[in-house]
Amino acid sequence: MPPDTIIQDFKRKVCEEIRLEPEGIDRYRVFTPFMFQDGDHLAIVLRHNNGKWVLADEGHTYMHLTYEIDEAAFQRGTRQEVISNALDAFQVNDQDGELLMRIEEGRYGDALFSFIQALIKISDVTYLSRVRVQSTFMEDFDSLMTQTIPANRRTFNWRDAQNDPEGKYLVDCKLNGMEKPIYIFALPNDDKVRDVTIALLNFERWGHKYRSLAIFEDQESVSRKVLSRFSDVCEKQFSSLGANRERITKFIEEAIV
Amino acid sequence: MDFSVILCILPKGKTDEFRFRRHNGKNHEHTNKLERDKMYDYHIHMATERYQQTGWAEDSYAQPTNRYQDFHGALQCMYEDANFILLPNGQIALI
Repeated sequence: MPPDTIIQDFKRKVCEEIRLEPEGIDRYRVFTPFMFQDGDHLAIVLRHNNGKWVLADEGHTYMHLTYEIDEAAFQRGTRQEVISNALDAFQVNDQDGELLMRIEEGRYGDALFSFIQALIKISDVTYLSRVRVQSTFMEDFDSLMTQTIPANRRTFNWRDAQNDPEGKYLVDCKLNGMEKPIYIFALPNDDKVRDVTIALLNFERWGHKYRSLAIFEDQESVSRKVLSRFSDVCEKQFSSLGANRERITKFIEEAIV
Repeated sequence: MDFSVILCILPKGKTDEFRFRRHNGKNHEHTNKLERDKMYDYHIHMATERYQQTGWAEDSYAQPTNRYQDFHGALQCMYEDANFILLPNGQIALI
């Protein structure tokens, strides 16, 4: 087939596959052939905002990512870096989760292609996900407490029955039998660290006399802000369980005596 | 218009969910890559063996639907399709 014919075919096909449909005043839905891995096409609208035309995904791209990845996961680490780089490279703004591109100097075609490339690049972070075997951290924690602390000196999932009858602020394992019991927490992720920070603040507010011990699954994976708030209220921390098994055991055994 | 009601499970020992069914809104087109048909409508994704065998997402296949037009309708539709048994007063009141 002569090159000219091939070019004609390319142009015709591309033109056919891109179209606009009005969806109200100064608003159009943009249809393109580009899609996510599951066959859903990119969601793009062209609308007039404050005197400028913009392309927007109205939050759909991030929502689509959450089918595969937890939202917190693409807000940090390598995924967050890929997303930031894509936004910067193609001059796309992230406004509260909505991806936007302003059309400058009437360059609608350039803007559309840049916007599409950015959305596709962002959606590629799903390929950074790996199916992992679920962590056994919590089981390992329970097992260590059971082995180290006599049954009559420990209570799993302890709560303050007087101030917290519904058990909203649980202690993973309470070590009792001393003047100041030790509240021991197992921390696999940011969410748990935040919850325990709140719990410890409440225990302070309720006038508890206690010591606190935290064992992280991987302290390095906790975001800095979350960790810094937690460090203000927790007395003793171990950065991981596996590498500190002996130290944790020693700490607890010395406390029990 | 942009919503998704998903029925999935987290297999034991895994960290990725398996999506059985996904009821989507109507703010984007969908193309079934194997069947090569395209739709612009409310649509229901469902897990199939053939798409998994090709290496695509398990719920890549979808069919258009007129059974709902909003999130609540899609949720109701999911209850019916997946044979949910709703308990009386199952929801805790907000106030």
